[in-house]
Amino acid sequence: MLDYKAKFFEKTSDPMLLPQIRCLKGNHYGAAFELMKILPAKFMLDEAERTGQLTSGTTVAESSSGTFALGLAILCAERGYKLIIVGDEAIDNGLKNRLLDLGTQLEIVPNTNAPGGIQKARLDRLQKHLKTEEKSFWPQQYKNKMNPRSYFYAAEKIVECLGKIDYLIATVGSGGSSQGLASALRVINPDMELIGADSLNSKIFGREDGKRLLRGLGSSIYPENVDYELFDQIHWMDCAEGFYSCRLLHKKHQMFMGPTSGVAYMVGKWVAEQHSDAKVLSVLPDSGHRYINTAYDDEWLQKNGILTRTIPEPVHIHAPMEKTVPWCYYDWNKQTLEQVIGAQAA
Amino acid sequence: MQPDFSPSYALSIQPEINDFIEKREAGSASARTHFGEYLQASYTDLPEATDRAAISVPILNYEDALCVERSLILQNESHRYVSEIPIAKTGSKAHFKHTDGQSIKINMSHCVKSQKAAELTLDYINKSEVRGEITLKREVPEGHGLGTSTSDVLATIYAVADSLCCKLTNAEAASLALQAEGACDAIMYSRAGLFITTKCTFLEYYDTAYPKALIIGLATDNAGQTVDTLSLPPKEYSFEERQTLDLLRKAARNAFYKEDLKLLGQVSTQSALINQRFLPKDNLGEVIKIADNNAAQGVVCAHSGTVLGLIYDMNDVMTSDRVKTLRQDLESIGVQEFLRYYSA
Repeated sequence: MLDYKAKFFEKTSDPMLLPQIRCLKGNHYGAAFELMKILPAKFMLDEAERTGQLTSGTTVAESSSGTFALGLAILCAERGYKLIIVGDEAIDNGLKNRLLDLGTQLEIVPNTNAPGGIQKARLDRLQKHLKTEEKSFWPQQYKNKMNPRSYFYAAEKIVECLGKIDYLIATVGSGGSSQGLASALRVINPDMELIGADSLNSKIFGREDGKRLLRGLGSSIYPENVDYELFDQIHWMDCAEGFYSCRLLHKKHQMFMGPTSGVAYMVGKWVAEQHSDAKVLSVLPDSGHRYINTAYDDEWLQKNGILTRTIPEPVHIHAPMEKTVPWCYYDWNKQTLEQVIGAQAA
Repeated sequence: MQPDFSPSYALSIQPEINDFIEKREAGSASARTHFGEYLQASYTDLPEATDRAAISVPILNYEDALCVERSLILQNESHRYVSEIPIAKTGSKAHFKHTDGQSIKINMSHCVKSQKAAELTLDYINKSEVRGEITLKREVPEGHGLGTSTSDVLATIYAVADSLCCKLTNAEAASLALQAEGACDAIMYSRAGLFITTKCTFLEYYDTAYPKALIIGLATDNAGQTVDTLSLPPKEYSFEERQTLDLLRKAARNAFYKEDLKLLGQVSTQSALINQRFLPKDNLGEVIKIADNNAAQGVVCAHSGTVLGLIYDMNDVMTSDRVKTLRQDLESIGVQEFLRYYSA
């Protein structure tokens, strides 16, 4: 649009909605978000306002220990909604302090090893708040269809800069960005391959749940927003390699991003090397500020026994649970979760 | 805040003048037409549209400056915009001969818009006392969404002006055409853009020409029907459709700047699919399959008409074998006739 009025942003969240598109090397590009989750958060709130679920005086309540909580906190502060975030002890101090600054009511649920685990304890606490508040709205990022739809907006910027994408690498947590970006970019290139990047101890793509030091991708549940039939290939990476990749992205390209971005970068780098004539895009979901005392601190990495100085070649596996190596990949070939798990059991 | 167009800047660059017109004897002019549109969608310029700051279109000449001024009045309204595929050397030819009669006459009596356009043009150049006869000749059938109405009107406007040795700029002609018919296609401009027909202004204007393409025009089963473009109701797109159309708009921007006909072909196919529910074309699905199998860049439709076409790169060598296969494929879905058009 030819418009000379909008030279400045009216809200802090406005410039955070779209990624910066950066050429990393030759045919490999990165779409770098400062805080990607603010985009789905905005679309969920907008939709709730449109449909009347969210009006002045409504309390927004959500269960999250990560960047989705921060995105909601910024938007709710901008719009004047009260926000209750139910998290667990995994929430780091930096995030906790930012949420409190933004006026969020933060509820930390202790891990008591009760049946159903911490996820259930958090949801129970959330339900209690949703019932006691006079008017409440629960965005539900794992279910809300506005989560994937919001990424059409980010895809606009990607196609404007790059045109057709041949390989998209998206880390998978709630499933929103992978589903939304892949659906949007396949409008422009129906043959685009979607490559999901997950954490080794994540349940999403048929592996066993376990402790995950690298947060922001992977899950202990099967999120409804993960559209399994969109994926062509899945990569699993262990946390040490993820942290190292994130540092490499910083050292080589001066991009100060989080470890989730590191995983997407490393997988993308490998794919771009395999297909030198294809355009490869890695989605980099958040900046490095939250990880200054962890991923960016060698002492912390050493103390946790995850300081690595090499990245191995990825191992091609034929079932998600076939091997546990630092980095492996499986040709998902647009199957359903049931098909993959069924084949694995047989 | 008004844009700063200092007079020295505006005057230092000559406007493009009537670059598509073939001149013959005085009082004659022609105007090209278009074969459907790469994209048709609606755009609502909302105050919260955060992408506006990221967009810049270089101001190249005086006519661009006019576009900017007009675009400032678009805010908070919803507008249908199009990116048409102009066709070289086909369209309407008009001749205006001065007579001593009482009124302005026209050889095609139903072309009242052209008649009105002639009167408006004479008014505009302060020669309202002139009378004459308009002879219109057309190379494309009307009522298929191929822009015959605008090409008639524009050819008439230029012919009338030419008969009085007057040269109109594209913007002047566009403004007269808009008054005459209530909407106007973008065929007078040689550079690519997204055009709001009812405002006769560009939503986006690019620094590139339309990519050279060969269009294989097909007559679909319902091509016998004709459509009165201006009587079509406004299209109400769903939230999902609007999202996809916004995506296509950005893809078109990339495609025009990089002269990427393949990407533009994909935009065109998707636009045809989304708009299919408003004015269905028979065989669209089959034609898309045939386009894929025959290495076409995409499928184009007349969004407010009935015809479909296949988009080919002009540099693509169409061997006789390829033409034969294409002909067989098209005949298998009942398309007997097709015509070649060259975009320009």
